[in-house]
Amino acid sequence: MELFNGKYKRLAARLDGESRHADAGHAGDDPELRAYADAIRAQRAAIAPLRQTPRIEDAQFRAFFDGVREGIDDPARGRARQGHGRGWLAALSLVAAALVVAVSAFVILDGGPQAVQANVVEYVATDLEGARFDVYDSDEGVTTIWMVSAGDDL
Amino acid sequence: MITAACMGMALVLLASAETGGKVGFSFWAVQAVKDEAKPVDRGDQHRTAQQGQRGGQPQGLGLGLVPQDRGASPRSTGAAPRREKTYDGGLEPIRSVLASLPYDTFRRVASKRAETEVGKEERIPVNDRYTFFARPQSVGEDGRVRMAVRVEMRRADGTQATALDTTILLVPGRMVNLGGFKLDEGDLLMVMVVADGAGR
Repeated sequence: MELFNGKYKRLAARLDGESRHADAGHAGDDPELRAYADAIRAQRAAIAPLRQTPRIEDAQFRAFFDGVREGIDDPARGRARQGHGRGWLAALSLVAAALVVAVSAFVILDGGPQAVQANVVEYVATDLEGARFDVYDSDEGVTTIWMVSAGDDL
Repeated sequence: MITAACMGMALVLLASAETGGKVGFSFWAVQAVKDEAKPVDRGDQHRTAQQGQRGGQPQGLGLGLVPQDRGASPRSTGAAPRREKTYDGGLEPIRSVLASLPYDTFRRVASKRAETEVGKEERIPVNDRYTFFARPQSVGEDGRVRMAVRVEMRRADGTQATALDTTILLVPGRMVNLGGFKLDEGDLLMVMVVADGAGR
């Protein structure tokens, strides 16, 4: 068994190009070694493309980094560019925005919740010559209209 | 969207509409007198105002001219020393209004609880010199009452004059104090308040 494994190892080393096994490990007429050698060659051929790791040269780095940055900063735009037909979402957003505007306008024009109100003096006049009034609200919410100068009529 | 906007505008108009109906209000006319003979209360504790001793009867008031404190409104005297105040009976509902005024004695001249239709004027004689008029003009959906108020007076020469002509947007339960009208003794002030449920 040891002899068999050693033959396989030497054959594999020779196929890998190791110089110290250059003269060893020929498959010869041994069908098992020949099959093993064929299998190894097939594996090497299959993985050969994977060994060619793409390299980013200095000249390509700016374009590569711009792509990364775009993916981080604006993924939504990237998705939108994929063109999956999102028109109905835009329409729904527009309707929702219109609804919000309509409700807000109603609340504003309606005055909103009724706050605590005070009396409002809209108009004050007198026939008395030289008379004038002081109008004010107290902290308790009492509205006062006070004749501070009665004039000559009194 | 246009339909929704039209419906919203209609609701706004309905909400802001003013209604008619009856308006109830209470009215007091008070003679307020400064009693210079009374001692000034300089105690640290607030003394409760005492009930008047005049039994709530309207006072007979003359027509003479008494110049008093012209050019000053009562709010400018908040720091004045407190005196022991006396109130006639029937003034309890407005005692909080009177207590802050710089007078010592408050005598009830007239009082009335009235209910009148929107657009109809209520006339309340105060004394032989002053007459109070109130005419509700409208009642808002929020319950506020737009009230036209006049105080007519008779001059010393017998001619009539409008001492006060005002329009006030009244909140039910919030009092209005009309004051500074001269009497032989002290000043005349009138307090009114609109009752809740105006416009029904």
